[in-house]
Amino acid sequence: MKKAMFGILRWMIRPAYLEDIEGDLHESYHEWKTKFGKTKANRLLTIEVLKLMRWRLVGFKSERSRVNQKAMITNYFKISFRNLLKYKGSNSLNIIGLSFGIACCVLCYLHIQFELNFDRFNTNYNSIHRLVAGNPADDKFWVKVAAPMSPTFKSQIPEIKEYVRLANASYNPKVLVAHENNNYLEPNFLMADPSLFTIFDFPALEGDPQKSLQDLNTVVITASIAKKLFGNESALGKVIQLKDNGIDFQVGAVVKDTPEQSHLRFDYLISFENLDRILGEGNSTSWGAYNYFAYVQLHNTASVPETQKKIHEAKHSLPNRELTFESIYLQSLKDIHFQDNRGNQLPSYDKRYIYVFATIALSLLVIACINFINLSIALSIKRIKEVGVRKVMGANRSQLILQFINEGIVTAFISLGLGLILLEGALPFINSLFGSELTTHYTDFHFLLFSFGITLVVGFISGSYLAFYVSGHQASSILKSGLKNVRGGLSLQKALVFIQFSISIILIVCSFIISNQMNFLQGKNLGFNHDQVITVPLSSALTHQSVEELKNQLHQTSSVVDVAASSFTPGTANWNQTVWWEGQTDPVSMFIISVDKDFLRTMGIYLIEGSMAQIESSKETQYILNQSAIDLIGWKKATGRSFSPFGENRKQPIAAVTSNFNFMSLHYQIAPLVLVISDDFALNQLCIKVAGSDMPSSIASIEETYQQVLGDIPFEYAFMDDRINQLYEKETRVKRIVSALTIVIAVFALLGVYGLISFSIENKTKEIAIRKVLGVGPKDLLILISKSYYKLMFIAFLVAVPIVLKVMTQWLNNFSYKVDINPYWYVIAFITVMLSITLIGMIKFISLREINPAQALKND
Amino acid sequence: MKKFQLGEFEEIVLLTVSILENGYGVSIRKDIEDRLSRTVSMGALQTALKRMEDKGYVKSILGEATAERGGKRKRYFTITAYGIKALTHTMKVRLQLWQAAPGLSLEL
Repeated sequence: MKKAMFGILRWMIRPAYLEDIEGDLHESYHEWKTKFGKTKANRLLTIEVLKLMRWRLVGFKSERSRVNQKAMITNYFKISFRNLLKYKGSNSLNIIGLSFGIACCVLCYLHIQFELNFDRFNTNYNSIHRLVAGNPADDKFWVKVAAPMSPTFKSQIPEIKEYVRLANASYNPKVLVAHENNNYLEPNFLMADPSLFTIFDFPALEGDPQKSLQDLNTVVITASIAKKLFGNESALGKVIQLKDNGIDFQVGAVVKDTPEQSHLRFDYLISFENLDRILGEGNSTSWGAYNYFAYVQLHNTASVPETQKKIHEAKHSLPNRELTFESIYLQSLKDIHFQDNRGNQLPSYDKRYIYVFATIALSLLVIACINFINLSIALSIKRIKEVGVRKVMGANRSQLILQFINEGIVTAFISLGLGLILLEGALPFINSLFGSELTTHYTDFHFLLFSFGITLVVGFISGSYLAFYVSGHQASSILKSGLKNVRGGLSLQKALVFIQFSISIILIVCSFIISNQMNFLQGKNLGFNHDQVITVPLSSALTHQSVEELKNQLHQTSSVVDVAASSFTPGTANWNQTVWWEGQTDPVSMFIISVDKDFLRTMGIYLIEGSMAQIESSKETQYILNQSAIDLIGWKKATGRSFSPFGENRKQPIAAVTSNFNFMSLHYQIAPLVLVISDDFALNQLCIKVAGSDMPSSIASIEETYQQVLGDIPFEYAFMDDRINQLYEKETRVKRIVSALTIVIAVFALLGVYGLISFSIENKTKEIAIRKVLGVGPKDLLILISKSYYKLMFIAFLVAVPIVLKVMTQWLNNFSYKVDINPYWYVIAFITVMLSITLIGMIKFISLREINPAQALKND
Repeated sequence: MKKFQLGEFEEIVLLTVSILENGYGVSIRKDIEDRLSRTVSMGALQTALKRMEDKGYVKSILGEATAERGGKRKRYFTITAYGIKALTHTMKVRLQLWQAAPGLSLEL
């Protein structure tokens, strides 16, 4: 205790006072100890030392260096800039490398920032939860629940402050909206409770959105819709019609467009009370229709697990049975964007990619630093005399260190400026390439903190190696013969280059594997014909007759080979029903797609059992199963057996069995599927197989026919191939990012090798000169200089192989259909890197030839 | 008048230095604490002494080192002629003020 206190004292008190005070304290302590005993003496001493912390007395040893450093620091800056200008070549290489690194790093930061801040614009971010069916932790859950659930929970569970339910105004992806004589196909027409605007933050521009949603016949629209429909006129009071149901709505409020970072998107909102009127009687009271988004806002003090428990314990009595809600879970708003979620409006984001990008950002930065260090070590040989002179003039080690770190930081900040300009220029391009919405916010505190932070760190790390390395030599030896003992530096450089090699090889092989997998996905036979097929969405306002009419007309168009109506969109089967079959033991659910009679023929799907002619001639409802469904049931022969996806009372003999085709994306195995041909279900799109190669004119003629039959309903189309490719959008994006990164990192690594070989040549000038005199040709010299890099590369390769294997096996496991990792790709990567090293050696070949032994050896 | 600026605490310390012959940190502090029954912090005392030494009111010589001082030497303070002048000046100023306030002096 006593020792510690005096330690603090000596550290803290200005030297001018120290001796007197220390003496006095010793004496007092001695006296206290004899008078009061050790414990109290210690306490008194502590108090006394604490009381000594006053401005006049505290100095923290600063008095020793009261020399004004300003002039010297100014000089460091001056010298930094002079050196930058003097060695333009190497320094610009350095700065370009570093600014690339910083730009990529900032880009990764922007991306991560964007994804992590999803939904965070809501002030109630932490207390909003979504009700989902199934446990989100198990990854198998459905994001919608039944309509009466949330009001029931609210009345039974005090923790729930407010709830809001949302529903699509149609089972179709798009609804038809009319204003005066214009029709629009609109994807995001939703019904919602008025509390939407108290729970979430969707600011109003005109009118009162909350009040509007209390009224049955009022619609809330977003600003861009208002602009699209009404131009620059005020939207309030205007009337639009929902054509699907023929109901008019008056615009009651205009709100801002839903933000990019919102998982919840809407363009039109009408009151949730419209549910029965629009989607059919009984929906609002059905406990079995899990078709509606439901969000609850909890009180700030409520505990989530507690509320969750209360939901599981909640009960609701129906006349014939009592309902419980064990399968209903709370999903935090924080997790919505990141958990896999069939039924969401937007695709989810795999949180693991955040780690991937963070790692990438970090490794880019490390590589940029490594290059910086390597290149500046090569440069430092030229500057070693300056260091020597500084030392002779009295610079101590810490001053030299300060100088070099300062240089590193200056260079890093120049690179930051350049990097930001680069980023700013590249962002539009990057955004279009990766389908992102990134922007730089120069006023955002975190952004500035991050950019300046990494720049400082990079500058510091890059500068400090050189600083400690160069300043450690003796002035006399430096001035006499330059840097002699550079072995230590070289081995570090080699280690750094080794890391770069490993990372480049890993990335090259990974990008090989990823693009191979993507090619494989695109080339895989899906079991149905998707070439030359265009899809045209059908409004649910259309009747069966008008669809038939349209199909007939299209058949007569010369460019149309075949046409079918269905509710099939590749990859988005989300109609799931518990099915019934004769002799069934366990309830099983299967996917259902409603189609028409022409669907199998148009899509070129093979029949295993039954005949196409029979299907086409039948007028009845028909159920057609796929191979996988039959396998699941365990039948050898299925046609004629009783089956029903809608309960026993609608049973029918099975009409046919199709071969397996990939109706979902290749991430999944082919699931059991029932194709239903029935007039009861609306079909929401046409698949048109088009002949010939002149696509634009074919589409024009289809549009013409469409307009003839359907009049003013807008015509939209998409290529089925594009729809299929969209399923792999996420992977395509990863592929692009990884290939871009591979290029960047490979360039970095090559820069590093370049720096290193230059350094070796610089360092071994005399050795080379002597060898030259003894008759060694430049080719052998080159081998001499660069052979160690081949060795390095070989070791890096051995390290890279298992890492690639691990990472890529994991990535490929996302797919049910995948390529095998081919050893051949390693060989390609190996050869690529080797050739690049050789290429750099070739460039340096010239400088090797230019070494003149007479010049190099004249001083010795 | 501005020549001799002496704060209240400085005045007490200076008077105590002139009472004690060979006063040093600990003894000066103890003396003030005994006589005036007020606590004196070591830091305040040392800064006051140092300041007055800079002004020339006291001078100091380093004495012997003792074991109980942890090997540090004592710094003995004595008042200088200039210091005495400052003290008398301060007293005179006070007296003048006392005389100018007759009501107060009667109370004594």
